Amino acid sequence: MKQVTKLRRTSDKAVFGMADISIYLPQTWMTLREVADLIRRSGYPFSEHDLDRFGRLYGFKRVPCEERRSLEEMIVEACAPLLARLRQANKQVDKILFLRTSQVYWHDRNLFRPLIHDFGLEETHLLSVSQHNCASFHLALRVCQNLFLANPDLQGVMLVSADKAFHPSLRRIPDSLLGDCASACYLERDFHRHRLLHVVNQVDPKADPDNVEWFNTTYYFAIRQMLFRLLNEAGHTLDEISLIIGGNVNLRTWERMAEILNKPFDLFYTRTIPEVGHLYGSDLLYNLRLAVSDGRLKPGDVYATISIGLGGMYGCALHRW
Amino acid sequence: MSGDAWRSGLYLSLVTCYVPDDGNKPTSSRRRPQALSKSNNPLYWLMADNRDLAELSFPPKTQEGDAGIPVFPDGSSQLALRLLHGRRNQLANVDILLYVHESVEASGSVLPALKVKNVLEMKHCLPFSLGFQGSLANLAAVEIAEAFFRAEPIKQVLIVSVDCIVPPFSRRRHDLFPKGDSGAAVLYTVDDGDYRVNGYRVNPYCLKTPPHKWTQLDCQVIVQQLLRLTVRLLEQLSQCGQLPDWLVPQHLSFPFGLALKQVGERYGVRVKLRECWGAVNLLGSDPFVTLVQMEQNGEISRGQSVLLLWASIDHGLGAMLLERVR
Repeated sequence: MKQVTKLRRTSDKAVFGMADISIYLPQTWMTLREVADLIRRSGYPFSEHDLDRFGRLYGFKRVPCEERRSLEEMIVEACAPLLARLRQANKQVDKILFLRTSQVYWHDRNLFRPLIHDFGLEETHLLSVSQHNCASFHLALRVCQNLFLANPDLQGVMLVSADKAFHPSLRRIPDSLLGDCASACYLERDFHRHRLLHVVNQVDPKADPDNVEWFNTTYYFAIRQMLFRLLNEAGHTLDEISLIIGGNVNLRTWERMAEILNKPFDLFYTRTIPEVGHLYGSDLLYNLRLAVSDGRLKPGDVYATISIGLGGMYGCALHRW
Repeated sequence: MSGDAWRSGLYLSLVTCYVPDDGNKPTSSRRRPQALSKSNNPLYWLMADNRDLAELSFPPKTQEGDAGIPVFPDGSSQLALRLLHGRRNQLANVDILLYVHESVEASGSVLPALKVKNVLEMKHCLPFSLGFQGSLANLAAVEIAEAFFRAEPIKQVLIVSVDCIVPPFSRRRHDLFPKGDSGAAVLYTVDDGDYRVNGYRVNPYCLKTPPHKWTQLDCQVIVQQLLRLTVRLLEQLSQCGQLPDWLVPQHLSFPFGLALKQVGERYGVRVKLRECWGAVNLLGSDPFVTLVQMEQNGEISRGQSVLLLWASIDHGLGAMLLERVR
C-alpha cells in the first residue's frame, strides 16, 4: 500500500520558474467616461461622483473591451503564440491550469478545444480553479506549486487566465474598472527566472462578495497582515523586496499601502492602471512582463505579487527574478 | 496509456449524497425557480454575448418537462447547503474544501465554496472551486487533493460535487440522458476511510466540433469513443491484475449503459446501473449516488473493489479505483 509521502519544503527551495508569458489584449478601448455612459444606458448606476472618484482617486482612464471574440477565441489568442514557442523549444506542456474570476460560463464545454487539436494536446490534463475572484491567480500558483512538488515527472504547466465582461454592468465592481484580457504563462520545473519562493492564500473569516462594507473595513489590514505573513514564512524582510506588483484594483489601494508600510510609493508597480484598468486575473502577468521590460527588475531581485478578490480573498507570493 | 499499476495513497469516505425530488412531482414544498427577468439575469447576458450558440435560447424552445428528473429549485449553493445540512461537527476539521461543478448559478457574485465554508463555519479550511472540465472536475479535484496532501501538512480534504441546471441552460442533448440535479460530499484523508483509493486516471478527449453544433451522429461518435477508452482502461487493469469486482459508470445514455454491460461481461466485471434515476445523468455526483445505493442494498462488501467511471462528452473519460476497507 502506497503511503502519501510528505515533502519537506523550505521557503527558498523554488520548484519552478516562469519561463514565458503571453498576453492578449483586445484592440478596442473605452474611456472611463464611455464605460460609465454604457453602464448607465444598460440601466445600471454610475454616478458623476463615482466617475470623479474612479478618475481622480483610482487612476482609471481606459480599458480594453473585446467586441469580436468569444472567450474561447481570446484564450486561443493568448495561448497559441506561447504554445508555438514551446513547440519550437521542444518543451512539454503536461498540464493546463485555467483560472477564471467569474463563474458564469459553460462548464461542460471544452474551452481549449482548438488548442488541443492544433497543438497536439490531446493527452494533456486540464485543471481549473476559481472562486477567489481576482485572487484566484495566487490560488492557481499554490496549486501549481503543489502539483510540481507532488509529481517529480511534471515538467511544465501552462497557466491560463481569461475574462470578458459580457454585459456593461460587469465592467465595474465597487472600486475597480475592468478590462478584458487573456493571458498565459509557462511554468517550468527548475527554470531560473521568476522562481516562486513562497505563496500564501488568505480568506477573510467573514469573506462575502456581497458584503462590501466589511470588505472595505478590513481591506488594508488584511493586505498588510498577509504580506508580513508571507515574508515571515519565507524568511525575508520587506527591505529585501525590490518591487511589489499588485493587481490593478485601483491606484488608491497602493498609495495607502505605501503609507501603511512606510515605504515609497514607487515600490509598487502601478503604471498600467490608467492604461488598461483592472484585467481580472491577468493583471499580474501583464504587469510582470512590463515591469521586466521597464527595467524595474534586475536579475537576482526578490519581488512580491499581490492579488485581491472582491469580498475578502487575498493572495500573495514571493518570487526571485 | 502506460501499463503501470494504479496507485494512490488516499482514502475516501462518503459523507452524504442528496438527490432532490422529481421535477414534476407535486409536493407541498414544491416551488418553481424564481424567474429572473432578462434584464437582470447574467445567464441571459452570457447568451446574448455568444450569439452563435444556436442550441441555447431564453427561455428554452420547448417545455422540457421535468418528469423523472431530479430538480432543485434554489440553485447550486443552496443545494450544497442542503447536502451538508447537519454535518457541521463532522466537517469542523476539514483543511481544504473543493467545490466541483459543471453547472452555474444565475448570479455573478455568489461563490458557493465560500458560502458553504461560511454557513458551516468551517473556520480553518481553504475553499475553492473546480469547474470548466465537465464531470471530470471530480478527478481533477482528487489530483489536486493528493498534491496538497503530499506538499502540505493537511489531514482532510472535502470534495463536494454539486450540480443544479438552471435556465437557459438545457438539460437535454439529442438522445443522451437528461441532466438531473444532485450533490455528493466525499471526505479524503491519507490514513483512514471507508474505501482505499487504489488509483485514478483521466483520459482526455474532445471532438473538433463543439457540442452546440453536434448532430445525432456526433453524439454516437463520442459515446463510442468513451466506450473505447473504457475498454482500454479495463485492459490496462487486467494486465496489472487489478480488474475490479464492480464497474459503476456515470449514466450517460441507454446505448452507453448497454454497451458497458457487454464490456463488463467480457472482462468478468459486474456493471452496476442504477434503478432509481436510471435514465438521468447526475453529472459529477452520478457514480457516488449509485455507490451509496449499492451500500444501502448491501451489494458491495468489504474487500471488494469498485471502478467509478465518469464519462464527459466534451472532456473524456475519468476513473477511480476503490477498495472497500470498512
